[in-house]
Amino acid sequence: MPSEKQFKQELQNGRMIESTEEMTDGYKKALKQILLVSGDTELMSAPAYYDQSLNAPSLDARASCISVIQDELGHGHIAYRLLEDLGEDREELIYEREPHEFRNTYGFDQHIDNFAELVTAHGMFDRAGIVLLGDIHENTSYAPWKRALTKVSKEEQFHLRHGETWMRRLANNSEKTKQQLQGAVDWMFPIGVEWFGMPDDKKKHDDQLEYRIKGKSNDELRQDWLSRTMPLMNELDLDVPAHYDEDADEYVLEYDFPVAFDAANKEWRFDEPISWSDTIDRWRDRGPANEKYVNLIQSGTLEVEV
Amino acid sequence: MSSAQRNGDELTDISQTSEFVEGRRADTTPFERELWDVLDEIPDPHIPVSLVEMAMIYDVTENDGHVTVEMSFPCMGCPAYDMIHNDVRSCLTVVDGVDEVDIDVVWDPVWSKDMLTESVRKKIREAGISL
Repeated sequence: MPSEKQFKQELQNGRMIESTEEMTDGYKKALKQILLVSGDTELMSAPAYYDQSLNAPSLDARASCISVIQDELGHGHIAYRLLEDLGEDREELIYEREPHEFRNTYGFDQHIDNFAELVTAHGMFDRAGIVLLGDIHENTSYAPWKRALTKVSKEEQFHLRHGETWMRRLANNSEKTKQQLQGAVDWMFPIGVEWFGMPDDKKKHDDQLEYRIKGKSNDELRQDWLSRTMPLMNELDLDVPAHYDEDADEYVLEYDFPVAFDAANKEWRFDEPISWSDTIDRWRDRGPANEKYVNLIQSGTLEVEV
Repeated sequence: MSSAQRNGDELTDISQTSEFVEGRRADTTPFERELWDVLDEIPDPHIPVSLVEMAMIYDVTENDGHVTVEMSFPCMGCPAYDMIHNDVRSCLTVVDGVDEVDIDVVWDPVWSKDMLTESVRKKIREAGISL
């Protein structure tokens, strides 16, 4: 086994990893961490999307929404299956953890209360997933994950298109649906911005980058997401607290990032900047729908006594 | 799998092979062939091949600017039913010489995996989708 420094260098030079025998402990730990976040995020999107999928305005829309849920469960399954290769127990991960032990992104700890919020989740949160997994698909050193993501990327594109189509319809349908969409964007856009984590200058080092488990830094990914999300916001004439700055040649936020979030009312307090440690505490405390969603997933096994 | 797919026994031989679509595609006018080529550029929303490669396009006929696309879906509750209709319509209406597009969804012959050519199967397998 080479030294950790040498190993990281080999990975940066393009070395691919196929099995646990080729991993160092550090690599395995970093890989497990990101796979768990990925699997939990995919899995928890399913209960988050469930209620409002049944409230879709047409049979076609409902079929699309249900299909999105099915895909997400499949994507979660891929991540847990890969974790199994790394020594984790899939049943335990899904059915025997407490709600607060799940590591999904904070967005899927929120209640999705109307159809406008559901399609905005498809249009914004699934786009965040595409940005993150697209980077991993292209750049990761873990070959089994890279192979598995071919299918995932294609399916996420379908979710995104479904979301965008319905966001366009709601934006152009009536003033009422436009306002519902704006209401959804108001709380979901900043969640999308937070999705990519701490800014690069606040991170001391990033094992996931050094092991080339992912290829792009948090800020690069955030810019990527903004550069794909902002044109849609502008097209649909939706207000979001961000704009493109020509001098900086990047998208900039119009608030001090990060800020406080009133989760119960789904309202951002833009005039109340908080520290990153406060933000991470908020994520760790989980959001208002966390228990409901985990229970919805876990209740299935109890009823049929698998 | 939808119940429609399980009715494979009732199909005629030709519908169970990839030659079905190829045969239909060959039996066309040059303009209709051009329209087939346009449809062959439309990706299936879920699977990384085109609608033609997915063997969902059964026939394309053109009569004085009026185009009829006869097509089917792998399952009756296709989650992208609307999306695919929009794609077919919007890609064909912009073609010079096309005034109107009708989509005729048919369930006979019933779509079957056997309609996929070997090279398409390979693409689908490589994307991690089992057949």
